[in-house]
Amino acid sequence: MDFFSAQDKARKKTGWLIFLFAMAVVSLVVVTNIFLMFALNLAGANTLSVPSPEIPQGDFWATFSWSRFWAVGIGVSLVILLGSMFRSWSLGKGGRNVAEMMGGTLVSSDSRDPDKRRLLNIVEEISIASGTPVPLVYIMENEPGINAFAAGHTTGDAVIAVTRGTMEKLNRSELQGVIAHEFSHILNGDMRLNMRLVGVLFGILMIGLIGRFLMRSATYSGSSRSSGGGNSGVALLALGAGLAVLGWVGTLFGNIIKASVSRQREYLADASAVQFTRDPDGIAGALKKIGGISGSLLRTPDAAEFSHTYFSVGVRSFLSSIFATHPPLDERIRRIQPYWDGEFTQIKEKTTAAELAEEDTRKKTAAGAVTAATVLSGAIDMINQAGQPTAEQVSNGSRILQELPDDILQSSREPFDSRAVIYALLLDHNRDVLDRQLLHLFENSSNTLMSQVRFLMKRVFELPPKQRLPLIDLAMPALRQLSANQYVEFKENLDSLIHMDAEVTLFEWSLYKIVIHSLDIEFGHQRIKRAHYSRLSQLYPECSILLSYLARATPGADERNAFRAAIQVLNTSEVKLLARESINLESVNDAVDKLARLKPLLKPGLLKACAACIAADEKVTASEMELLRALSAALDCPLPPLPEDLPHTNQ
Amino acid sequence: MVLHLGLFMLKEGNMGTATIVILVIIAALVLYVIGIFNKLVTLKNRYKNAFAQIEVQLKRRYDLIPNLIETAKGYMKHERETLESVIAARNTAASGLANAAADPSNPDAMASLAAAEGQLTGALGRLNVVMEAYPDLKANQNMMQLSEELTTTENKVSFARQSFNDQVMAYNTYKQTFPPVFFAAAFGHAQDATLLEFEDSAEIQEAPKVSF
Repeated sequence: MDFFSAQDKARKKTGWLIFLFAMAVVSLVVVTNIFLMFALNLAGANTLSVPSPEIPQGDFWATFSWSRFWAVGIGVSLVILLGSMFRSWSLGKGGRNVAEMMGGTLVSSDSRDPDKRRLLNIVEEISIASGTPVPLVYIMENEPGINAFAAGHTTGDAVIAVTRGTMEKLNRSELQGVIAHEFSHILNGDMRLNMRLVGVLFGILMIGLIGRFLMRSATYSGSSRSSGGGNSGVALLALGAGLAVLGWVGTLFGNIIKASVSRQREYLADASAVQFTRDPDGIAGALKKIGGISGSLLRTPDAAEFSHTYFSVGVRSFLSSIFATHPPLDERIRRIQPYWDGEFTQIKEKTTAAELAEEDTRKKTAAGAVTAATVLSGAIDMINQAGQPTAEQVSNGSRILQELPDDILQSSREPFDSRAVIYALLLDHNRDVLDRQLLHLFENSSNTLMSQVRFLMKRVFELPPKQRLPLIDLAMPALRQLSANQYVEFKENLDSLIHMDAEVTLFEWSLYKIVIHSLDIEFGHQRIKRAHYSRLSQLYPECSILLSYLARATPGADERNAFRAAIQVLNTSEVKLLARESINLESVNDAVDKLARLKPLLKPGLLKACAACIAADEKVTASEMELLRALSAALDCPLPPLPEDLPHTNQ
Repeated sequence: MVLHLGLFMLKEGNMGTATIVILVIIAALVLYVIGIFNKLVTLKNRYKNAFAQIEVQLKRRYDLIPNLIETAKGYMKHERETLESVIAARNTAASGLANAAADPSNPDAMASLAAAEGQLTGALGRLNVVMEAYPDLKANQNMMQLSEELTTTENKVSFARQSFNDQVMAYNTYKQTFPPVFFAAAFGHAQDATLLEFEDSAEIQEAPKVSF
């Protein structure tokens, strides 16, 4: 399954989710009504000195009334809706909040601790390979079990969290398997689905919370008022207890829903992880170690709410076949290694680093045999492979990392210097503009930063285009560690640097888009938007703007020819080549914002049109390729970097 | 109160709207309180996490100092005391950092880290003064590189510290605003977080808002 249909399928699951959810709400309304009738019966039978005429004593069914049924129905639904909206709203602030709610400790992106560095390197390699911004990495320090999760809505606000046990008990290839599994959740759109699931289910959990609240206030008022209030206190207690039971029933429904949505996605993530790393032993090894210590359970009290996002079962459930959020371990291992002998790996309480290193070297000699390099060529191939880095690309990712000069690499990992890296990427080759840009930085930043920019400037100019975008991706975690004030300044400087000369190139614009898009969500300047457009025809005017702009992006090329090539892919006459004057960067910006909200299955078509437009002059340069990657990043479709060097022409 | 009223209305058969209104009011209240609780937790974890960046930079600074002393030793045979005081201050600061990193919400640990850092900066300052008498040492390539790195690292420390203090402020401000102020103590957020202030060089004192 390719990236776009995996994403689409994740979204379709949302429909199924809504159906299950509606069923759960209806059942809850019915159960609530029954409890209410019990409570009223209790109140009516024992406490009312003057029995009210509408409620005859003893006859249970007589207490039923349709008007109350509907009232309760609306009430319960409103409460659930309110809860769901609230939770979805608070999750809309990005993946970071989830990790921080769960008590995760941020791993500083320039950490030098060997264990942490190994983890960060693996994450960076896979990010670069898949062309996504490097996510923030968290460690759950107090969790000895082996587990991990990914959270966030888009690749831009994603975080990956692993337990301390994962970091200490797995060797490199097993850790790589786990991280690749989490990445495929990110790329397959599961995180978005997971977040939505958490949001929706919270509403159901709410009922239980209210029940507990009522019970507590009933016992409180019962003890504080010895006379008078006692009767209603009993009824309240009954009501509260009823609601608490309801909450429990609700959680049960929630777990069934979670389980039915998430189990299949786990198989898919396992399969993709094998595809990324081409090393089934890695992820299978990790699963076997989990089986060996029977330890993936988490201690965090919040674990249950996010149970379906983990690498492996995080919360024990009874009747595990119905409620388990993850397929059974042996089934998962068997799908990866059909000839597995059924033995889990027994590991000691504390595996030493030396032993892990030894496992690593053994691995290397074994894995060395499979490195057949298939060479990718052409833009269309690349789009077909979006979000599905192959083993070659993962090793390509680590090669890009190795090829980047060490000082630039170090700088990109650190909040202070990462700003210098981004500024340096924006500096102009034109002497005059460059001077003004440097002057601006001189006036608006510190001396140390300034000298860092000067130092990096020469190095960054020398970088081949294919390394420029990965550099932005690498800098993201460091930039996400800025404080809100520091971010505001950074954003202002970025803006000024870009607008220093009259024209904004597509690279500058894409950089701004990639950096600011994810950081704005991080810092709450923007909220995550949902896919909204289900037909491309809804956005033909925007397509016209984007393609007309692209057709003129390569100087010297025949714009009509390029545009025609794009139109052929889209197969419509509605998209028109617009006059040069009618397009400015603002309008392109708005257009791309809207196009980013297309349903996933529509995006490859659009990207292929863009690619055709760029390739119309029958030569694709490395910088054009990078433009395409930047553009697709802005459209939330990560493309892997090119493995081979394309001819590099000057812009 | 609301509950009793609600139950009363329930009995009187005026139930439809009453049930809805009450359920929704309670739900909104519960949500609001949950929201406050979550935000407090998130903000606290965020400033604790911001300390990691200070830790990285300070560690780097502490790693540079022994090299610096090693280089200086060859030239400054008669300044044993000054050199040793730098090393001692560095060691105190390093253990202070370890304590502070273990729990960034502990005000004592923060205070002693700030004090130790002050000592270290003082000792380094004295070393600089003494170094004026050794032009050979000042011209030493290794020494120049080390002090350059030390300066850069200091700037990074202050940048990370600014970020940390911003997050601490965000946490403190939130828990002092109107509704959360009633809940903060009950939810285990009685104590304000401590800002990390170093009373050292002027470059850190200058308004960071404009200078970075």
